[in-house]
Amino acid sequence: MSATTGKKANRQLILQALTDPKFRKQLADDPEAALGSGKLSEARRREVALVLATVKGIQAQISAVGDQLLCANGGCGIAKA
Amino acid sequence: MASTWACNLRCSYCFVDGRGLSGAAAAMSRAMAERLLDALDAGLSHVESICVHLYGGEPLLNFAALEALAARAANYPPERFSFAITTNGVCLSDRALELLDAGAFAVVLSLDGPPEVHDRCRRTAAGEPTHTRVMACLEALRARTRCLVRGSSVVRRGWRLREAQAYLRSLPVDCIKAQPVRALGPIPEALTRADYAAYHEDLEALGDQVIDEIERETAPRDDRFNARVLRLLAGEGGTTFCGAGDASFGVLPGGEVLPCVLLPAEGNRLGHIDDEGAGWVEAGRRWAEARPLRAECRGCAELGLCGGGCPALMPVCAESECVLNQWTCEIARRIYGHFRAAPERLLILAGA
Repeated sequence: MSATTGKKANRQLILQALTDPKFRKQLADDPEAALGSGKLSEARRREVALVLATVKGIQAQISAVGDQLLCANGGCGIAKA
Repeated sequence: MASTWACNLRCSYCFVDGRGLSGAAAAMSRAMAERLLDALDAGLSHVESICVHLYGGEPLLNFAALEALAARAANYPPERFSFAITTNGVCLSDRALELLDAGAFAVVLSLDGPPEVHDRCRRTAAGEPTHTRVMACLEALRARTRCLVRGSSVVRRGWRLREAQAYLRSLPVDCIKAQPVRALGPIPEALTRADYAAYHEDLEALGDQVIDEIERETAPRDDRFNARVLRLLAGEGGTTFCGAGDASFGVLPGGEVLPCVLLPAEGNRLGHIDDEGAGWVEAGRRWAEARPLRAECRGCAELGLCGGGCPALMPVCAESECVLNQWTCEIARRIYGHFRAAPERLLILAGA
């Protein structure tokens, strides 16, 4: 599998896990069943772990959209009264 | 955490000066900074990691607190605490550089534009320009640390978003931020109606640029749309703008806990970091739940993406804030729509 194909496959998996809570849970609890495959290799298990970690990170990222000047991402910029 | 309200600059558009925040508890003590990490660890035992973002005033003026935090953090597993700092970059010492590097701080560096723009508003208490020193700070951060650096510019009258973007993109910074000044009264830097129209125009162009960057498999350096686009991708709406009181808190120099350091203490005090049992955590949850939704927000199509706006800004400049939020949400929808046929490409906004 080429690096590009592999990246695309992982993104598809991430997208599915992100948008389908049932699939996400199954992927965490029983990845072989979720992926419809036999016993997973260690490398594949690491990929699954990475997918689940990425989804968790995205969920944290979207929990707040704060992007104002003085948010955790910001610098100062509110004028004085 | 606002480690100090003291500042070595007198930026003409600064909010701290007008809020009367200097006073008896002008700087967080070393002991308080140590207790802060312990209190956060105990009170937030239900979360995996905690980011402590140093604010002010100018946090580098309270070097003792910075040093105490770095030392105390060493008592915890490396993943327990991460650090960030918003700084004007004017008083960065060698020792501070070492601490920022050792702590892998994310640095938000206030740098409005080229000297003639930056120095128009950002001068020392003695009236000296600061651009040269800030650039030296940036150079030192790049040469001597592994810190993530975000350049942050204030868009204002006579300095457009597209100009701020172009300038920040010319610098060796990892990501950029350029937000408009929020005028709480009539000040020279306040945006006029024409300035807001220009901002909107530039924001749309930025949206085009973000689409182009995603097409080229490059993470956008201005990530203001990321969270909203990812919310659309995930199919999840949000009821909060920033998680204030629930996922984020503000700690004042004296140890008082608020949902956000920008909120007035009166009416928003959740407790103190020395409170037995970390009652401020539960108080924060109640504060977030009780936060009233503006009448204008009910039924707004963008509520799920906007979350009702910044709780610190909405009470003072709701109308302009609402407009800015709506524009950002609309452009986020446009970005999402552009990749409707290949939504997985948007995962680059999450670093995937």
